[in-house]
Amino acid sequence: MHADPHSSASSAPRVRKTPRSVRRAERLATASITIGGLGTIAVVTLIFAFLLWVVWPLFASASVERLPTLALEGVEADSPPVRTGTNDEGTLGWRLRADGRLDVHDLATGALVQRQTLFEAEGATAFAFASAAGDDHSLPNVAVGFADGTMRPGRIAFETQYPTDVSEGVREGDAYEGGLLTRTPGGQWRLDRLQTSLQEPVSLASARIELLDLSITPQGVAYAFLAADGTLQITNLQARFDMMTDREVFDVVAKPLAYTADAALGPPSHLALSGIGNTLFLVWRDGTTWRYDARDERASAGYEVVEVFDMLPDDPEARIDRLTHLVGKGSLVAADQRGRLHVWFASRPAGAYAADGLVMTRGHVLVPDGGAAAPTTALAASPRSRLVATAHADGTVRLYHVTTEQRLVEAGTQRGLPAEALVIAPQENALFAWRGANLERWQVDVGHPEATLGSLFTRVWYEGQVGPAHAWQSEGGSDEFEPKLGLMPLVFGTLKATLYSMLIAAPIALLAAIFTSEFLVPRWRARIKSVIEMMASLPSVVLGFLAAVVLAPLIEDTLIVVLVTFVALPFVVALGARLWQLLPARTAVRLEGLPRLGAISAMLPLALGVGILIAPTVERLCFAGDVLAWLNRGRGEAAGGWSFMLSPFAFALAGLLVFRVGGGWVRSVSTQWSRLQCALVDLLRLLVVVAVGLLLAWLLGLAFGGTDPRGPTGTGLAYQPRNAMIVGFVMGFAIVPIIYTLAEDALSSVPRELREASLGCGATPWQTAWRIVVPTAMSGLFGALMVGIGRAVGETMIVLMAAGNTAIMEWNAFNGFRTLSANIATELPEAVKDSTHYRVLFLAGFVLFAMTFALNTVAELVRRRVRRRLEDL
Amino acid sequence: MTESGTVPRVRPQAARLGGVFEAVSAGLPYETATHEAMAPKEAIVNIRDFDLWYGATRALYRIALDVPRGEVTALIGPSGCGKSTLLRSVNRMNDLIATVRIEGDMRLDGESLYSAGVDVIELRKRIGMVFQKPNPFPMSIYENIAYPLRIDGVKDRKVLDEVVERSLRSAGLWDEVRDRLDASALRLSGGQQQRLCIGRAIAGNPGVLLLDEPCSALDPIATGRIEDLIQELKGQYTILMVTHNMQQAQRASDNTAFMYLGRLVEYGPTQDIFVGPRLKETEDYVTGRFG
Repeated sequence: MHADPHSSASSAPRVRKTPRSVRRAERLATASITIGGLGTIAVVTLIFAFLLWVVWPLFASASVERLPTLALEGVEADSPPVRTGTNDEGTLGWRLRADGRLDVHDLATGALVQRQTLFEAEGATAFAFASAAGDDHSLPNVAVGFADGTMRPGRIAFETQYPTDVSEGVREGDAYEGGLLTRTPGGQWRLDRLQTSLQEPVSLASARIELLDLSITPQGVAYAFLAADGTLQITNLQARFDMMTDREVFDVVAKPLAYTADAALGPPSHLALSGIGNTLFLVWRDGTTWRYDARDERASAGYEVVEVFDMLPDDPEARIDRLTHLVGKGSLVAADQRGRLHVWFASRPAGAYAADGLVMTRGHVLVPDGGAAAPTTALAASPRSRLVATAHADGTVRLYHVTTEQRLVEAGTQRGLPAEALVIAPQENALFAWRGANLERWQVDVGHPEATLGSLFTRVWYEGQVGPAHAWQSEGGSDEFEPKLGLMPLVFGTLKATLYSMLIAAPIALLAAIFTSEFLVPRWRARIKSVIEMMASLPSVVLGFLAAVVLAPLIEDTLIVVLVTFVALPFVVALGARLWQLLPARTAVRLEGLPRLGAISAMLPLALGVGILIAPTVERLCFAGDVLAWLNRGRGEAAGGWSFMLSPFAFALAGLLVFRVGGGWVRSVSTQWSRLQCALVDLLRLLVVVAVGLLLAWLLGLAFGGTDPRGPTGTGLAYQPRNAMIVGFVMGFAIVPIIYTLAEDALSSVPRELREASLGCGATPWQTAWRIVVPTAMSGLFGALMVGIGRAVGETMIVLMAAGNTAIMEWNAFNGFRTLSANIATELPEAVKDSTHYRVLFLAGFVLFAMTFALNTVAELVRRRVRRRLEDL
Repeated sequence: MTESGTVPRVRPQAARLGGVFEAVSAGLPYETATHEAMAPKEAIVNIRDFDLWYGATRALYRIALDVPRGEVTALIGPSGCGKSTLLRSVNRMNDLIATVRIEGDMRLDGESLYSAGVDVIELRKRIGMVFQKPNPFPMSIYENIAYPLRIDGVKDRKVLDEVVERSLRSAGLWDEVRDRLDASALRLSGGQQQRLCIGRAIAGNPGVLLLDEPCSALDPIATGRIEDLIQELKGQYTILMVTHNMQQAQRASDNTAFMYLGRLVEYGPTQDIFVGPRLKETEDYVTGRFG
């Protein structure tokens, strides 16, 4: 094909032809670019879809499926149980009758697996069960009171064994030694069996035990009882290791409570001992409740009622059908005769009237569909979360989530008969209702009831709080802890981090960009730009480390110097500019390059010097000599702080007054003045501004002095070493380069002709920059800021290390915060896969994604608008 | 026109064909052939022995030129001969280039432009400039014209309105844009934009207008309008313009200066330069035989 180079000179003009290799390369390039582009889109879509896929189950509603009714073997229809329970898997259930007979049934077949007599039939008068004590095998979880004033603590719990000596011929599901035999996936035999024990009687009172409750306390077990003779007492059995006998012994500490029977009220119907056994509630059927506080261990006399309230305040006719504690025993749930649930817990409001500063508040009311249902026949709380199940006289059952006030499930029984006992299986996958000789079963999938759009993004009233609030606290010390999964504090933290870092970064980066593109000689522009861009190469983990370990303690020690330097810097710069004007014109022109840049750079250390110099004076005048103590309300008046806080505003106002109002006059008389005279007058004016500003700041302090900006003692403006200001400094440092680079590019790309036109009209470089270059580059500058914000929103390491990670919602610069990104980084490694927490963390990631996406979209829209406006006007 | 006895000089009268160019190319000093007809005219800009370097490169050699008040003076010459550099030296636009160095003197109304105490900002307010490419600001038509006043701190709407109307009328644009003064200047056609730039230049009421190839980016009709405008503006303003277009120089200017390789070769009334140039080189250039 190719002509011989030697003969080409003589041959006809060569026909130009694209070589086949070029075409092939072209096709290859097209294909790979297409694949790359589509692949990128696909990957982003997949990430998005994956996030949605993980998050989606959070919002799936609960489902329920009724299983066929079981006839329980060997159970008489007319002997209702006192209490029932199931094992974790919901395969075995026990049923205790008042006469002490305990039956264990296979919940899949109804077969009787085990039958025993827990105690002799006569005289059992009161029962108490602690559901949450399950795991500590040494502690009782049941107590039975007797007519003779004695009490027998005991334990009813399922235990799992893996027997190796199961004889041939035994099949899975057979009753075996009073338990249920199953095969593990590994082929082992597994035996689930109910183990019971009841200790010897403890004499509590000389009369019949009417009401009884027990709680597991950090020290041991606390029992509370009301005897027929009016004895009301909390008895603590505190475990102690006896060195002499080498055994654990119990010390008995009795706390008598003041109780006098009230004829009008009659005998109380319920007795409830709270969480750690130091608060006792006596409840009457009409809702009247007495609260006793027995926290003071050394009180010698009887403990008094500290609060009396009505658990059913809406309706004078209402009565309590059933009462139970929620898991953790922090909340009381009362079911009234119309099937409604009233959830009460103690909170600590500012103006509490009770002696101990607590007030019982009704945080939630759970209402059946239609506002009312049949009377409640059984009430059960889940042993691991805030689920509550009710059974009603019309045979229906309902499942609620308390904190989010949702009714998850509403189901009926086959024959519409009311249940006598109700159990939420510990794994929350089943609901069991005992009725006579029958067992009703429902398979339940509750999903993630604690996470709803409402609970994630709006205020939720958590147990123990004064009112609904945004809160994020995903993990607590115990299994009874209720996770608080409000994302708003994290969104807030992200916004706060962004705000403070942009407050630092945006002015620095934009002004630096304007300075280098408009005022600096090109030779230096390139060097400075590359130096600033080098700042971006610092890994953010290093910055975060520096912030947390170096900067935070340093600033805590020198807070007042930092604050004063902030205020002093503009003055030092203004003063420097005016002193520069004093230079002879010829000298000024000669020093315009590097020396001027050096002089400008010297302003920061100079301002720091001024800060160090005058900080003690400022601290003494405004903050009573110690700014940290002032912030903590340790000392000082509000007025000084106001003066300092508002001083930038005061100086700006003073500047405006002096230069705006006096400016015209000075301009009109200064036309004849020499350069030196003008400069001197300018210097004088600056001093006037400082004086007027100080006066204004003082006046503003007096004017605002009546209100204290510090908030209540110990909160409010109190100083945390890792705070928003530190993050602002360091993250600001991290995002300056990106904003600067993009802004500088935007400014540099403004056509030179526009600058020349403006300068040709006799505009100064500053006028040219401000009136022509900046407006023309506005869309680019805006884009630069948006990219900076995007970086700040997503930044993780710096905020993780320097923000303190407290999920509070305060704008205060001296407080910490917790961002979405830092939260994900901290908690995701510990979150159990597919748990609510895990999915909510993914949702947090999704929210972050949505925020940056929205930000970029808005930025793009605004950018286009600005650009179009520049063209259209 | 001082003479130096030691440096050999090429006498214009004695120049042979190509003699001037050869002398110039050889780096010999050269004295401008200035027509006697220029002498009686009152000059507003006096340029004396003006040299300019871009770094190590010399761009202008001993320029001596008097720009007559109220007339149109055209600078012609091949590309790279220094016309624009000379023009931009008049309002010190070359200051923007870091490496520029000058020698010699330039005066506006008798005041030196390059002495140490000169305020460049004030100087530029007295000289309007129109660039090769129309460069309206990305603002409204109104604000474009008002810009020189805005930067002087004029806020009085009446004054601004009046100046905008007067300037737009002077620039021959008023009738076309009077209904859309708030529209973006970028929406105007190229010719309109260039007239807007002229309007902006004269809004500041300068004594001198510098036009740097004002029509090079325009079509013939727009060019015609600008040339008409130049005729209308002369008298009131002194116009110094750079042009590549011989016909334009002939049609629009009163005086013409021919430059070559940084030297001002011949300077005289336009009629004389085009009809009876002193130098063969000038004749070759204006008739298109060289260039």
